[in-house]
Amino acid sequence: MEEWLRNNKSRLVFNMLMVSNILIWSFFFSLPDHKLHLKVYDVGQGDAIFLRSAGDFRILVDGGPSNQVLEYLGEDLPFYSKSIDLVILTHPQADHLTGLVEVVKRYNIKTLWISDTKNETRVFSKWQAVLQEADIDPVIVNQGDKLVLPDSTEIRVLSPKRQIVNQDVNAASVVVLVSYGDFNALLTGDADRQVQPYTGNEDQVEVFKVPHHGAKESINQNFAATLSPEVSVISVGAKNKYGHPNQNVINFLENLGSKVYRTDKNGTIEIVSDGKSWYTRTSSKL
Amino acid sequence: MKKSKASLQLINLKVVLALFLLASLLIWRFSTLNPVVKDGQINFTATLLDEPDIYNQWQYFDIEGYRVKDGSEVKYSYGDKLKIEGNVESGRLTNPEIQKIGTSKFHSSLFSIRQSLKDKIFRFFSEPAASLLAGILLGSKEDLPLGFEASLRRTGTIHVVVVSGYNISVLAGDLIGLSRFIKRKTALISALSAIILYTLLVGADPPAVRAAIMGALTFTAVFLGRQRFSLYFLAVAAYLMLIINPSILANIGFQLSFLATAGIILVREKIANFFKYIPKALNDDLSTTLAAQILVIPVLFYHFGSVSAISVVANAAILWTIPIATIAGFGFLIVSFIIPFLATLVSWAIWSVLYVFIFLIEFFDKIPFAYFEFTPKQLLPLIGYYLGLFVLVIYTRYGRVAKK
Repeated sequence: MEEWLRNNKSRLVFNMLMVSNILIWSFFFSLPDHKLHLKVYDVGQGDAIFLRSAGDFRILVDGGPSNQVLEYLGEDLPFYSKSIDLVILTHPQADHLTGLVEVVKRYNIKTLWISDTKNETRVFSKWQAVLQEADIDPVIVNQGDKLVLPDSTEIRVLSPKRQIVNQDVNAASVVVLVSYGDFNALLTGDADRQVQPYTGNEDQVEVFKVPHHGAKESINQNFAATLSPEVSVISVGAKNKYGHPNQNVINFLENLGSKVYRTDKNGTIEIVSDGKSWYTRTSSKL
Repeated sequence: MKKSKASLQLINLKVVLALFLLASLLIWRFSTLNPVVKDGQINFTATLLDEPDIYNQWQYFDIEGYRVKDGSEVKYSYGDKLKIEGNVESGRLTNPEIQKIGTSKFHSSLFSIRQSLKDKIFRFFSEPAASLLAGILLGSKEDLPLGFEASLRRTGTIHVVVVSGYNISVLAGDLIGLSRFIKRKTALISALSAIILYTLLVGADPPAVRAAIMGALTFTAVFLGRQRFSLYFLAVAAYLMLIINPSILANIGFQLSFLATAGIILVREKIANFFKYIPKALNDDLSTTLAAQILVIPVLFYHFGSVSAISVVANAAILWTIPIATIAGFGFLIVSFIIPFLATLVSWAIWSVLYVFIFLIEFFDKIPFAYFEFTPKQLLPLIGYYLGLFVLVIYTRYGRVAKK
């Protein structure tokens, strides 16, 4: 052993230097930039949205239809951390839930928000099994619940309303409004026009995640006009069998003066804000 | 002079006789082989060595070379003994009659060990490093992100996680190195059992089995104080595998693995000499990959119709990371069950090596015109290539170059 160490001294030193170099630089580049990052991942036909607040608080809204979300998380979380502060499952359908199963297995989830709905599918029973195994107690959230982070980012639940039973799974989606300074983003799951407006006191927003992949029934026009979003994002898979998104919905949003991004055309869409101004960038597939 | 020639002939006679006997045994074995039914009614009993992919109403799995599609009401798992009866259509069995007649304890416990090791890796690493390490250590490609898997294929480096027995060779090599520190007999026994267990753990694919047999032979030979007869060992490994399961000859992994190893044994030294002026650290990997590719390329081309022009460079650039990741990875797995905190530190070091690997793969994948695709299953280029290679060898041996 000693002999081997003596013979390979320079090689060992070189390898150690290389390793520490890589670790130091990637640590440096993963330091938070004190801005809010909202990323609508391109996961095909489904939703997976990642939010990294100015104070490095991490929120994942839905996991998409596959394990692709793991790759994105691998890129967006630093190598030394495998924890997510808040996971929100808007509603338990496969195109929002599937990716979360592995996320729960592999990451350390501090809090989980869900809607009070069930779904008799294989993914859902797998999901409940992994929750139990990971010892995670989901919190059922309703209109009025909110979370204020130390960096003053606010996550407010707008829907579903309390004490409504027998609602359809989509309509019961958890809808949250993310506010940081003057910047507001509305994340809607699949809560379509039958439950819009969600509270009745909505105001203008900068970013609107269009509900239900931009389906025909996705928006109530009056409600969308109230929001008059500057950017609308549709999370949708190319050539999906449902015919999402609906062209009329896109036209309507564009006529409101909103820029419309779609994950099937623009790839992953990222919105960055410092609380006053904001900008958008895409991984553009075009 | 005359005398030695006579004894040489005597040896040759013995060798020829032995070879003849071995060859006839092999031919007899082949004649007893049940041909794989491509279409029609079949009925067999086998152990499930695959974990079914389950979609809502359907599940899919591979068994005995068939792809089975069945309703998902009944759950099958790795190690189940199944009696299957059904109609095959081009290698696929849809909705066959399946009867579970038992579970192989051995297989199912191997599977759960493998699963728990994988879980450890996935807990500590993030994608794509996690599935890359799982591939290197456990030979599992099922978790690789699709995009990354495509990059590995296009750069000709997928063998690192799937078809090669490279990780087994690495393990065998390390054990030979380690054996200096313990008693010979214990070292021999524990090393051989380690190789066998590990081969079973990674799923005992043909390339892994080949590497295991060769590794075990090399190991034994080193202990008996013999030289390493690599080429003979390769032949012995091939022979054993074909006697046990002749249908393996059609397995692409088997073909590639043997040709690559043969190439390395035959021409690696020569190529290394040719590149004398390149620093040794780089030369080793470059000559190894070049040698491995020489016999493999036409077969790859035949089966997949694609050739990666960047493959040699990419392999030479990444190969050095694999032994490091393998050794450190085993260390990590052991530590992760004892001291989780230390495992975290080790995982960072491994991550940085994997990061370099991933970075290089993505870099090489971006180079344009590095990947060519043609129609597969063309026999002529295959024959032409080997013929050309043969002529080249003859020429360098007996032609003008050799005479100089």
